Amino acid sequence: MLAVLCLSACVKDGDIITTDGAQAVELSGSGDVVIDKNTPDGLSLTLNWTDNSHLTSSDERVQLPVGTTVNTLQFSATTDFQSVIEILTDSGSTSMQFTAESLNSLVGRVGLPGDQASPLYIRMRSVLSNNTEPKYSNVYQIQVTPYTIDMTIGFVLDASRVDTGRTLYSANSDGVYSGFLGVSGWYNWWLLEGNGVLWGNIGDDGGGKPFVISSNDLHWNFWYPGPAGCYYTVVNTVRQEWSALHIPSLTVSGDITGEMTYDRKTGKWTLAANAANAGAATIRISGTGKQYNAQTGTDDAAAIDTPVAFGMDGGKLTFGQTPTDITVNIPAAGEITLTLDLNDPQAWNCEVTEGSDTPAEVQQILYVLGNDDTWNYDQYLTLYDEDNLCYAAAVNFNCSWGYYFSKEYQGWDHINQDPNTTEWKLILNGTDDNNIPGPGVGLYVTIASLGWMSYWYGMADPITSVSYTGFNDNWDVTEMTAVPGQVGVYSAQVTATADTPWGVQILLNGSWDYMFGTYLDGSLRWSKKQDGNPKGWEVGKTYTFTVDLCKCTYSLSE
Amino acid sequence: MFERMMGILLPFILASCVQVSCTQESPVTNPRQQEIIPAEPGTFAKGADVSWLTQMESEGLVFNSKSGVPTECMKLLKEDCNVDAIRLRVWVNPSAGWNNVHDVLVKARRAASLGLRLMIDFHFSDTWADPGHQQTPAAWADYDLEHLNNAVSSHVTEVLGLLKDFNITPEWVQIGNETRGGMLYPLGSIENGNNYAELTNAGYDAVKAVFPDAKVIVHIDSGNNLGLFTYVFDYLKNKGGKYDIIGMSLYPETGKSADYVNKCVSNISSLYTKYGKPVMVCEIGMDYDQAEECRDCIASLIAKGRETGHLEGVFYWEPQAPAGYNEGYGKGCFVNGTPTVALDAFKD
Repeated sequence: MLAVLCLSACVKDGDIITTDGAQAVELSGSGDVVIDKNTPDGLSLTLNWTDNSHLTSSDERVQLPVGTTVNTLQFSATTDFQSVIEILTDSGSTSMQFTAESLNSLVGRVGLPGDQASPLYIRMRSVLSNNTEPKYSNVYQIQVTPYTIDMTIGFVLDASRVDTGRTLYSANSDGVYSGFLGVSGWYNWWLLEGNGVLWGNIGDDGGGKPFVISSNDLHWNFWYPGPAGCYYTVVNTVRQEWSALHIPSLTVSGDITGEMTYDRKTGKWTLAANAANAGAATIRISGTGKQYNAQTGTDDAAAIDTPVAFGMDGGKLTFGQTPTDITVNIPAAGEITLTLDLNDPQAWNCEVTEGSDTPAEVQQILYVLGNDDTWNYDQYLTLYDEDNLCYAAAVNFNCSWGYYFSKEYQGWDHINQDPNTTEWKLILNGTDDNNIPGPGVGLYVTIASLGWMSYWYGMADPITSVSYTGFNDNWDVTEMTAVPGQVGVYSAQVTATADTPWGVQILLNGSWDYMFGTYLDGSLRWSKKQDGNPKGWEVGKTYTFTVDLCKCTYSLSE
Repeated sequence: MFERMMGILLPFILASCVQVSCTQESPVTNPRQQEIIPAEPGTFAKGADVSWLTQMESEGLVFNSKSGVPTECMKLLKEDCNVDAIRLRVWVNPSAGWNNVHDVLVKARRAASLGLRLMIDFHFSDTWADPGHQQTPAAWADYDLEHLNNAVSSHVTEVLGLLKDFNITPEWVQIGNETRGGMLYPLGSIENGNNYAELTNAGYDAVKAVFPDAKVIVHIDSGNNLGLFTYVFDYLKNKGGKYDIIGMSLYPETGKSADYVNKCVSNISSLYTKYGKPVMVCEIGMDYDQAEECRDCIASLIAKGRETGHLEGVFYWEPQAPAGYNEGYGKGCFVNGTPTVALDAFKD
């Protein structure tokens, strides 16, 4: 039956112009495949189909737009196509190619068993639009022999879907992956299975739902709760949920005692101690964690207190709720370091080494002293790039003697201009003689990196205007008003009419290049933002939105 | 006489609704559906061998027009560089799949849909065939000459037949690649009696059986070295070898391109005088960072070659290859996925 595509009313005759609609294509391909795991990038399968991008109309004089037909390849293990894996083809394309790796992943998702030949049924579904009947191609059948995929490893990808090198482990290849991950607060990530299936939080009414997982096209990435640190993470692809057990601290008892320190960059817990004797020592390691799951969401108050403990079974470290004895060897009496290495989910390790090797905790703020001729530790920069220890904030300058940075509250440690260079370099343990000259009078975005030991200003000019964009997923720019008597504080009214899925940007001096972004915990970060509704955002309410560019915080108050 | 009418399409194409003039005189054409006008057969070919293209795409390479817009490579070559022909190599049963008959079909269809002319380059090997390598395909390794002739014929028929099934007609077909010493070693060595000529003829006849109008090319490297050509084409002349066009490769060294061109052009004239066959430069390339010299070299070759009346075209070999591709190839003419000025030589 002809689908009416084009109703064209001539004034005098009322002609109706119709089109045959999407045409079914003829599908062919390169034939049976034994997928070679040794050439993952090699070409394994080529599919070709006839071109159906050109529609025809009942009036030959009328030519219709090209490429409006939507062609979707369907792959199935059965002739009835009851369960299919679909791949949308590019508009106007007439072929698709699969490397060994991509085909193996595809047929794994289709459900073909490894290391044996099985039929794969392929057809093309062609439609003009959702309200028109699809046309199907011939069914192209081939025999495919996939190679067996290792399903014991789940690969942790970052928010950009780049492999982080970290993994979770499924000992029984049963779709349940677990392991310890050290993360920053609200860390965004994905889990990629060996068969190419990518898991994240399920999409839900335009937003992601924490701890309920999905691998369909509309899913979001996973994200952790607010507290940074060590999480025992379980992704259960069978029950389609995941959980995160935050471990804020671990206590060691027995022959070695003390509180361990966690370094999320190395994924290790450490404890420096003094050993009276060398030789075998028996210890226990335990603590109390906070369990986040599909019921609690990321609500810290709802998170469930849960005992955590390590033990040893058959020489291997175990993890659970009840501690058992762990035997370690102390190489020599004196200063030692106990290290609990949780990086490899297949082989956690606990050992004692000589000497002290405990990581310092990453400082979240860096104090600024002297910027306004006061020296009272009430102004600071906020960490925004942990990898390079970069701190930033708006700082109000009007200084007579320059300024310096200080790490410890009222520690009076000086981080000053490096006197050995004219570049903007920093030096630890400097003196007042080497204070950093102020950039001028006014509110400047000030940045310091203790990783690179340098400092700079986010903009050459002081802040003269502040605006926001992004609320309600609306990217119009709205000016904010300076709050009298509070330097660096600006406010504006905003009504929540919809979700704010991508966060909010605070633009400085009207430029999209200079911005603070909202994080879900109520903080602002220089040049970054976190996707999702800002803290306190509820549709239907009207707020006073206030930002403090000096303290790097924001609030929504009704 | 009808009045003007407005066509209202379904919502999904509202934005492109067709305005139809209700007159009987002329069709109404949406600009986006202009028919591709194929390059005219028999005219001077400005070509590119892009056999790596699908493999590169699978590896994530993206190509950009000179204005920075990501663009399909053949389309880019056509629109930005005046390329009007595509050359594609065929391997018999390559271990990694790329350049097998099905991969060739994908690229050939794409070229045809753009109205580009096509040269098919049979290597008669599972891998690279060049002056130093003419390895017989593994599946043919034990064949005697009769079987090998049949295998050549069947392979050519299979590949060209598949193209024909998809209404693609190559204008040129190359039998063997850089066969200065023959092909399908050891049996097809030029030092092995009539074998190389027989194998060439097996390919030639198979081509003509499928596409009678296709021109068959025998291709030798080093277009600046006349001796290599007279060695092979004297042999073919003496042994009754059949071909229509003499194919050349030419890879000038930096700073010496003018000399290469002059010798090549001289050879084109000499070869025509001696064998009565025109020449196609099937491959040309220079170091990617010598784009201006490369442009001038190709432009000079085209100008001087056309003056002889016997040069039928020039194909740049894998212009889209980024520097260092495939373990070190450096004679492409794209930088950061965008053409350099080298192919400006193709502009009239």
